[in-house]
Amino acid sequence: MTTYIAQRLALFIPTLILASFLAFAIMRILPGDPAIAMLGGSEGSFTEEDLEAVREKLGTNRPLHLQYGSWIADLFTGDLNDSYFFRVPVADLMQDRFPVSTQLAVMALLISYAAAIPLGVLSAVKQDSWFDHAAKIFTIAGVALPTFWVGILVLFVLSNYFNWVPPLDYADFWENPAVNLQQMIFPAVALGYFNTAFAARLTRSTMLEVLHEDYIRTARSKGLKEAAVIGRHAVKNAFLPVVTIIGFQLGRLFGGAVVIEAIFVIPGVGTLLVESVLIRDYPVVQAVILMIALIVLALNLIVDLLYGWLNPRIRYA
Amino acid sequence: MLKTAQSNAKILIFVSIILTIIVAAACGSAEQPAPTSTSTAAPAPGGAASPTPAPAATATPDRPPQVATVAVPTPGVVESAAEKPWASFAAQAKAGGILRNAEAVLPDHWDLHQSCCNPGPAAARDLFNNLVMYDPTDQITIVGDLARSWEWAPDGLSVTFRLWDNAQWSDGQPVTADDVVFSLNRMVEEDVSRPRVKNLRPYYAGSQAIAPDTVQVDTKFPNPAAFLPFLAVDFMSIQPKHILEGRADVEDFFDDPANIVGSGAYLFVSHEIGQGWVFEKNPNYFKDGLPFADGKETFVIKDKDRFVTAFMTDQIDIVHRGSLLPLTDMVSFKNQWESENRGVVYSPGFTLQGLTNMKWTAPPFDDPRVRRAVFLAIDRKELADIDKLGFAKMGQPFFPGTQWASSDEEVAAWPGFRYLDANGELYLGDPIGVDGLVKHPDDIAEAQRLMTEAGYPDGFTANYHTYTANKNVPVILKQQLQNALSIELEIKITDTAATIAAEQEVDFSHFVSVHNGPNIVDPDDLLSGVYLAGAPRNPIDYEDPMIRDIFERQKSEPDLAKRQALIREAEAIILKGEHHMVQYYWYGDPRWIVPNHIKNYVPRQTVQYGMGTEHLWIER
Repeated sequence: MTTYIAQRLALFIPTLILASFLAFAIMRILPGDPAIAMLGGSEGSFTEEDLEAVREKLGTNRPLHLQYGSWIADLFTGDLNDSYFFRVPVADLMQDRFPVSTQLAVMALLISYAAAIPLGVLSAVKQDSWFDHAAKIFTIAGVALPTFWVGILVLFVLSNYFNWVPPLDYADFWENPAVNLQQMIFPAVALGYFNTAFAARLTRSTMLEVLHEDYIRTARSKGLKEAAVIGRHAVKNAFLPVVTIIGFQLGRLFGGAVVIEAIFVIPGVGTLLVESVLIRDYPVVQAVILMIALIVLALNLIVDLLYGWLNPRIRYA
Repeated sequence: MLKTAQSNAKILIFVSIILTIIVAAACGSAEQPAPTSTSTAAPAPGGAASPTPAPAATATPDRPPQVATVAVPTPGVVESAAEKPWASFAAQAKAGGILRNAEAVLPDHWDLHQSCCNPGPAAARDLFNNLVMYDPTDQITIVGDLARSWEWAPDGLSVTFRLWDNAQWSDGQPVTADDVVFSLNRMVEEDVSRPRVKNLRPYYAGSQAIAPDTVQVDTKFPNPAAFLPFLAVDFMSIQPKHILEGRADVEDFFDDPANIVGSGAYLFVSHEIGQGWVFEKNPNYFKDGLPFADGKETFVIKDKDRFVTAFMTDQIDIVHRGSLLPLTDMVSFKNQWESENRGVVYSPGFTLQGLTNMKWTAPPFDDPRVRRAVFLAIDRKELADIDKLGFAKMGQPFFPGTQWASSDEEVAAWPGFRYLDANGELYLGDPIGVDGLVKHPDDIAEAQRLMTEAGYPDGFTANYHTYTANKNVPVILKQQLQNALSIELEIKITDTAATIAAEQEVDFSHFVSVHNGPNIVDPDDLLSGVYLAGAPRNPIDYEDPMIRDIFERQKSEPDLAKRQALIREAEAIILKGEHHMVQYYWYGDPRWIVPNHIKNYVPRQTVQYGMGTEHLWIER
């Protein structure tokens, strides 16, 4: 197991180097210039001399290999550089924003699995019933509807029918949990809808497979109550493939948060990323992409280890 | 079978309910502003549909009057502000409450001397004062801010300001003439980024403190008409000498707004990056009684749906700078907002320019006949009707409806601007928003003749580069230029940063299209912003020597009538249509959302000044 973990961790390095290179290169390939964005874009009033002065200050007029090299060198010392636009250390921004996005992603994941597993299990147990058909519609809609559209829908339902929308002034969970939950619950629901649908569909299909297995028939023939058969024997085994996708889904939730955070004015890493891409704030974009890559890698490793723990037949060497 | 049928019926009912809920929720209530996805010709605000000549532009409740500031200095005469310019409204104001403001764009700098564009002063203006400002009750007249009065020298080469003696910085130090001298010198510093305040450089020669409350400012030439209007723009803040002078980090110190020491109506409390900022009332503010609100809270909202719902649920009081709503959505919002009598969505004057640069140094635009052909062939009315939904005026050289402009009737007779009504008669009025008009065929014929003469009888292929928010323009132009001149446009749309980069670095093949927003309604700003070499909207330094000559003569002409005559001369040259750029329209689309419970709000002429809120009060 230790060897396996070491091997996986070793694989992190080339992956992160590739991610860092892509994050660096993509921003430079994109047309646009952070100096121009800082001078106000189309609203700005500046000359070529102003532009050069800002480029000099930012260091974006240096050769690309030097810019990349110094960024990587700084990374090894733990320095993520300063944001061009916000003029504060990127590490400080990340420190503020990642917990918010993490809370949103985890809440979305919890809500989605709390809904998806009963939904999938009941759909399988009550196959072809009205409940199953209703669940099918609900889940297909969840897979089909874009997350941003669900977010806007939630917002308009709240606004139009309840004349209420979540508070604008963000409150930290540990300082004001009531306000924080008011702000986070609806975006979490909107963000988690796709995952609910996807996980429910997966749970249903794996449950259906499991319910036709010999050991389930054996459990029933032993006279076990149906609840015990389902709960103790079927669900546990059906759950394994679902666990596999949790890591993938959590990574996707960080991506989906980009849009949902903007819609619900949540100061997470998603809004930071969008803002930074638009104003070509290279250090922030690079750091966020690298951090998300690291999180996805770590989550996948954790899920793989969890999978082995849940299914003793799987052993890593 | 019966069971199956019942089951199917249940499914159908369930599906119907779900679909109904989704559709109902998606559509919203009947009152909700429904964004429209396509632009169609719409009547101009206040525009008539009949072919009779339209009346001259006048003030409407949601737009400032179209008259410009008369800012020509009068030598030897004290131009004194009223003793207390704010006294006229302070007596009737109601104190208290928190002013909740929405902002879509973050300030580029809290240090207004380094700020490039209006999100800067929208955030920081209330923390500082200028020497002079636009009167918040009309947004046209220039009144004192820190200056109590001012007097021009008989030779018109200097102006002496007397300051209010009770103004103080937020650390308790008095605001003195030394602060003014320090700030003015800082504004015109070379070799550092001074995107907006550098507009003083052509005028400012130096300054000296005569007494703690008196400062003399020398100008580079006599009677600089645009000097005070520029000085009144929000970027020109007076900053604390005792805090900033000599600091190694002077250029970065106010980047952290917690460091700001200001003299303004509000004091900085907190700033959460990307979320917003909080100010509290300055209890020692020198303008007694102001500000009226106890504090000001600004929320950064970047999603347009969240923006709309924030207003609809009364989470926000005001949008005072600009919103991120596209024009079609804003018009829907405005219609609903005003029909429900919740407030007014105001527009600035027609002071923003839609224009395109032509690469005049390379074929085919190196031939002035080709540039003039494009100038003549463009259908400005169609562009304004479709792209700006009629919230625009024809693209004449100088600010329409002001003392610098020709009248609508005069404009309507110019080649390139002419339209015929249903009877084939020349339409003498503003054609925008008027149905049944067609572009004058003589203009098209002349444009075609020029193209043939220049060697392009079958047109050519040209690249048109613009930014996303401007994407309608090339689509409309493509058809216009194809039909009129057989010019095939290849459209390239990138984001704003990439488009501006292409413009500034001359990395475009034929056309690059941006917009221009002058700071003040004065020919100096327009000529030096667009027409003269070195202007931001003139990347390849096109310059007509006659325009330069007129610019130099008009900028210090103390006689308004003579100055107007000079501007008419410049207008005639520009109307030859041979310049590096062609202007489509002037626009001033609705952007400032003000509910009924916010009092004393007056819209501004341009989007670049008047962003202070000390004069507003809340009265529910």
